[in-house]
Order: sequence, then structure tokens, then C-alpha cells
Amino acid sequence: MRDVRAELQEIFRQVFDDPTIVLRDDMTAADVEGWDSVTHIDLLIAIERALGIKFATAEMSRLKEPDQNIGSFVRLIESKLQAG
Amino acid sequence: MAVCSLGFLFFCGAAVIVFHLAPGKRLRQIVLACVSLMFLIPLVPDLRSWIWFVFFLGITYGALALVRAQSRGWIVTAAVSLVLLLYLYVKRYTLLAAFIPFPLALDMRLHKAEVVGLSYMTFKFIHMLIDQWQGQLAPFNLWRYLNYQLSFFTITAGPIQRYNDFLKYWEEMDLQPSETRESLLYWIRILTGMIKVGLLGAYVETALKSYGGLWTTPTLGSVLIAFYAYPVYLYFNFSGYTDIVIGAGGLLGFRLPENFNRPWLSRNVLDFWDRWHITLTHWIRDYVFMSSYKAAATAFPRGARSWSYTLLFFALFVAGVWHGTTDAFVMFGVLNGLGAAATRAYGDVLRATIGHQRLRAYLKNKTVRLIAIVITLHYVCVCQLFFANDVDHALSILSALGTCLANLPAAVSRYSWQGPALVLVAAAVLLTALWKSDAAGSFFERAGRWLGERNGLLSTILCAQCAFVAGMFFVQWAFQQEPPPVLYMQF
Repeated sequence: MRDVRAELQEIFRQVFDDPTIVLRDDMTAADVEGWDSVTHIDLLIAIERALGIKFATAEMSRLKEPDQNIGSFVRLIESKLQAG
Repeated sequence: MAVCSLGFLFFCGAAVIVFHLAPGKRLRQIVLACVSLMFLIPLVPDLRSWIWFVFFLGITYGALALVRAQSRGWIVTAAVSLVLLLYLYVKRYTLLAAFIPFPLALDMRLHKAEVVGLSYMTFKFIHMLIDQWQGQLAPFNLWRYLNYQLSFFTITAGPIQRYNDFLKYWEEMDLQPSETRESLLYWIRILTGMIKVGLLGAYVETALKSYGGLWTTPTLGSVLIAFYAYPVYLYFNFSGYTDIVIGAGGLLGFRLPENFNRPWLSRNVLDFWDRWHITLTHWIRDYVFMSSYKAAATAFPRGARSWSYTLLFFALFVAGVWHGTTDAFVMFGVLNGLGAAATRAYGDVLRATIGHQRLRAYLKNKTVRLIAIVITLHYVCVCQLFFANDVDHALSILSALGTCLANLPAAVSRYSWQGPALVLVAAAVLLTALWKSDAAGSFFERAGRWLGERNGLLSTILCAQCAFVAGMFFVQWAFQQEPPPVLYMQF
């Protein structure tokens, strides 16, 4: 089975150019320095390329909401991977 | 119907009573539809405007139904383009009228129509269309669509609620009435909004008109009022309106999104727009910036950074130009766009030069934050000069401000010590308040939570507010004043 969390962490480190990032489920955009609207899209493009999935506009938007965190991000990716 | 009026207060009270007496979801939905229609009727001035209303809702629903039946990208593009052209035409963007030779009989310059809430209906429609195309939209039909578009607490000036959120509350209408504490909080929110619009906003507007208007010999005081008072007025006016509709929506079971989050504590232009008219900014972020930047960065990965600056500029420019059709709004858009692009560029330069660790420390530094807040506050005031005035008048205020500041030492020496001392004390208090803003914010949040758990205290506050608002309306009636209009209802 694919380790989405580990792959996601590697993508985060590349996009934010910060090898010290360690993802936790309760982390939000406010916890990652430089996670603004631009890097959010850079991140989603990198995830789409690496995992072969596509995000809709509403999903991209929802992931920026304050009540969303890495845990919900991982769950969304896993559901997309399962849906094929 | 003016939202800051006794009539609206009675209207809300009657709507809430009838709504909660209605048994079951269907009846409550019908009640809400009737309430929205009753609110809309006085706002549509003539038959021509009604025809435009029906035409707009008809073609937008048709486009949505078509995309549901055939999910094709070109249909979405054509529908969005058509609706945007229609929007530009009805809003009388004169630039467009100069290029497109409309037949005289159809020329909007001759036959004006007032389509209330056209901007907000357009935003909602584009969001629904794109989400439907991408398979993210909850099921819709004509009844739900009309109620979503015409719902009385969002039609005139937002906030822009997303359809899926609207539907959630629309389908939960058969739930029990909200508890007493929640109702008290919503009524307090409505009355707070009325005090903001009817008293604080109106007072600042009067000061602005009396002292900050056109002058023969500008004084430092009048120039400062012209510079600082408009943003304060706009904040009270628009956030007050938002409080009123969020309270009204809450009483009818709808939790509306917030539109303001302490905007005067923003540390840059992007942060400001993330705290001011939040639902508009998020709409533009999602459907203009994110979509276009994703397309550009996917197609040209090497030029992504340049694209980010360009498209940030464009997104904030659109946010500015949306507000009005004159060259002053173009300037407002350009200044906001430049501020956004410069903010992003500055962040990139800092990251590249000092690295992540030191950047984190830099961003946490309280002095840096205070300086950033003060600079942003003044930049926003400059931008809003072009929101409030024509270009010439805005430039004349800036020029007068420059002259007054250049002559400040000479001007101060003419005063006795009390005047400058007062200004210094005021500036010190303001800076201390900003310095302690986090602590003050968390104190007020804790106090709000503490108060929110005590129904007796909430009732007392509500009674005091009722008396205060009754006095406010009595003065309006005694002096035959019109209820203050909500500025954003014209956009």
C-alpha cells in the first residue's frame, strides 16, 4: 500500500524548500511558513504530478480553509487515489 | 428597504416569528422564499428592471442545467463569457459601450435597468457553473437556485455564501428553533450592526463631509480627516451591514460566512484582503487567481514566479475594478494589484536572502509586525482615497497632505503645547493598542465567550441596545433623516 503521508512530506519539503518540515495531522497552513495562495497552488500541482490525481477548484479552495489540516488533506488524497 | 431602519427590524422580527411557527421544512422554505420576495420587491424600481431580473436568472439557470446535462468545457467558457458581457453591459461599463455598437433601442445608456445584487448573483452563478462542471456541486433545481440567488440576507451586498453551504442549511430547516442563547446573540449582532451603520458610520461620514471635503485653504486637521475618516466610515458601514445580515440569517437557521476579521491589523496588502470583504477575496482567489495561476504554472513551470506576480496583480486589479466603472476605480485596482504583487515579491526576496529560519524569526518580531501594520494601514488609506473620490480630488488630498507634512514643524511651532501633545498622546495610545493587539484580541474573545454563556447578561445587553437603537431611530424620525444607505448595495 502506498505511503501517502511520506510522499506528501517529501513534496512539502521540495515545494517549501525546507528539509526540516515534518508533517503532523493537526498541522494547518498557518503552521508552515510561506504557505500562501501561490505556494498552495505550487503544492497542488506538485502533488497532481507526483500522484497522478486532479484537484477541482472547490477542493483547492476547501484545503485553504482554517478548519482544514494535513489530516484532512491526506484523507482527500487517499480518497482520490482509491477512486482511481 | 434600508437594512438600518426600524422597518427592517420589524420585518426581521415578523419573519422570525412566522418562520418558527411554520411546521416542517417545506413550509419554512416557502416562508423564507416569501420573505426574500417581499424584501426584493421595493428594491426593483420598474418593469424593465424586473424583465432583466427574470432574463438574468433564466439564462443562468439554463446554462447550469445545460452543463449538468453535457459537461463540456466550451459550454462553461461560453456561458461565463456571455454572463460577464451582460454584467459589463448592465453595469454600464462605458468603455464597453464605446466599442460595441448596440442598437439604440437596446442601449442601456438610454434605458437603464436597476438589477439589485447583479454582482453577487454573477459571482454565485460562476461558482456554481464551475463547480458543477468539475463535479463538486450539490444537486440543484430551479426552486433551490432561485432561493439561493435571491435569499434576502445575501442578495444586496453579500456575503457570498457557497451553494453547498446554503443547501446544507436549506435542507435542515425542519430542525428545532435555535436555543435562547443563540437567538440573543443573533439579535445583539443585528443591533450592533445597526449602531455601526446608523450611528458610528453616519457620524464619521458627517465629519468627513463637514471637515474633509473640498477646501479653499486645507488645514492639517481637515486633510487628516479626509485621509483617515473614509476607511473608518466604510468599515462601520459595510461591517455593520454584514453584522445585520449575519444576525438575520442566523435567526432563520442560516450560518453565513464572516466578511471581516480585524482588517486594521493586517501586515500587508494580501493579508488585508484576507481580512476585508473576505468572501469576495476568497471568490476571486478561487475562481480567478488559483484557476489562472494553476493553468499558467502547469503550462510554463519555469516562469511560475513571474506568473504569480502578474496574476496576483490581475486578481487584485479585478477586485478593485469590480467596485466601479470610473477611472478612480481603475486606480484603486492598480494600487491594490501593485501592493499584492509587491508583497509577494518582497516575501520571495526575503526568503532567498535570509533563509527560512531567519525569516520565521523576522515574521515573529513584534517591532517588524508593528511597522508592517502601520505601513499597510496607510497604504490602504491611500488606495481608499481613490475609492471615495475622483482621481483629481484624491490626488489633491495627497498633495495637500504632502504640503501639510512638509510644513509640519512650522505649523507645530505656532501652536501652544496642548495641540501637539494631544496628537502625540493619541499616536502613543494607538501604537500601544497595536502593540498589544494580540493580547487585547484574546481578552475580548475570552470576554465574549464568558458573556455568551450568561443569558441574563446577554438579555441585559440586548435591552440596553434596544433602548439605544430606539433612540437612534427616534432622532432619525424627529429630524426627518433618511436611514443611512449601505454603500456596498450599489456594487
